[in-house]
Amino acid sequence: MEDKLKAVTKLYMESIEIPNELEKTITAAIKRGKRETRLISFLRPLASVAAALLIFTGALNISEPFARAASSMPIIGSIARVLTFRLYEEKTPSYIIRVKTPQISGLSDSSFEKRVNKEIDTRLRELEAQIKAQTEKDRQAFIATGGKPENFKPVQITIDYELKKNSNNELSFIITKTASTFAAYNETLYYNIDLNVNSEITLESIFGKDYIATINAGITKQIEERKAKGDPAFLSGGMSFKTISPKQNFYINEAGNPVIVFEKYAITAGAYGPQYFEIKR
Amino acid sequence: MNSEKQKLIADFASNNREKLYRTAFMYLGEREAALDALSEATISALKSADSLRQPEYASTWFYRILINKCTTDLKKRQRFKELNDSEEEPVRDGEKEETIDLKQGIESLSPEHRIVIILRYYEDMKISEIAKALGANESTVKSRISAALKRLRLRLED
Repeated sequence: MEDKLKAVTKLYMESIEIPNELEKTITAAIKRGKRETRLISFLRPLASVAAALLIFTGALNISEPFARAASSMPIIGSIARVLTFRLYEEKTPSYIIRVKTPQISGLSDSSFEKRVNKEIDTRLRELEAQIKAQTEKDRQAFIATGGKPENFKPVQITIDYELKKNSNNELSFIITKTASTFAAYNETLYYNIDLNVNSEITLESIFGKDYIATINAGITKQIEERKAKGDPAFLSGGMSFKTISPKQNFYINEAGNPVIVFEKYAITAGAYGPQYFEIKR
Repeated sequence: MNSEKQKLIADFASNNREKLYRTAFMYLGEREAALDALSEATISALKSADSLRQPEYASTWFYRILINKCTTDLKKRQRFKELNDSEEEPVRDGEKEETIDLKQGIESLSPEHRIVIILRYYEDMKISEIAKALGANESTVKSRISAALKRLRLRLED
């Protein structure tokens, strides 16, 4: 039986035809295997740099004074400036959050400065807690409806700020919160500060009592111009612009002009994103 | 760095390519799939040359990688096969009846049983080597071989 089996398996195996390309296939695989090994050993040092960066981020996370020390570089050479206050990264099964929060510094009125900073800090901590709790709810809902816990993709959340204008007279910056899942989680905060009088800049303070009418006229004119140019966001009917609100969001651009911002969905279909209108002073 | 081990692996794959291909084909039953599995196994083997501790076991070590690739591929394809009932292969003319019986006997074995028969009687491996190649313990290999033989005998005695 033993010998017969040997003979038969040999026969069986040798009846399997050898394809012509077998030799080529093996030679190519050997080449590829060797090349990819070299690549791996080349990438290894890079991976340790990445690890070091992670540790650095970790250190920032642990100690806020360290974060402040590490990032207190002026953005523009004037006295008043925007600094990074808190910087951290956190990963859980529900979310991956990257946070960089701003503080203002160097204002001539330190109590006003403190008030603004406290307001920013309180607001952002609230937002962070809110969205973290929301993603955890989303994850629980995902599991409750039969999803496997390991299949839940953590929501990527970013809180960041962007300086728009920093002159001797004005400071304008925005804080954005974005999430990888729902656009509804996105949010932008606007801060415009008059450095001379230490107060918030309002559209009224720029355009006077009739600011709503002035700005509405400016926006209507620009929408007409965009329509004429064939901008699809304004061509189809549906949503349309009527008036700005007294609490209209805006920032001040490099040129020093206010830019009115309408969030996604506000005056156009959501697909066209937020809309911006610069209104000259 | 591992150039010596890599050379050993590359030489093994190159010198035994026909046997390796046939093993993969026997497992998967398809030319393209067998070529792919062998190609992937060769690449992984070279990339993980580090994990080959004892060069004298290069052969069983390589078989193990190849068989793992084949098993994974087979599982994927079996799910697909269930949706597409496969046709019976026609018997070719000119082959001796007994050979056909034995061949069909081997083909009728499950892949698990077939591989132990091939490694034992075609590759002439010892039980301990088969155990290494399959990542199973020796008693499992022994019982698989005897189960496979039992099935073959039953078929031959019909």
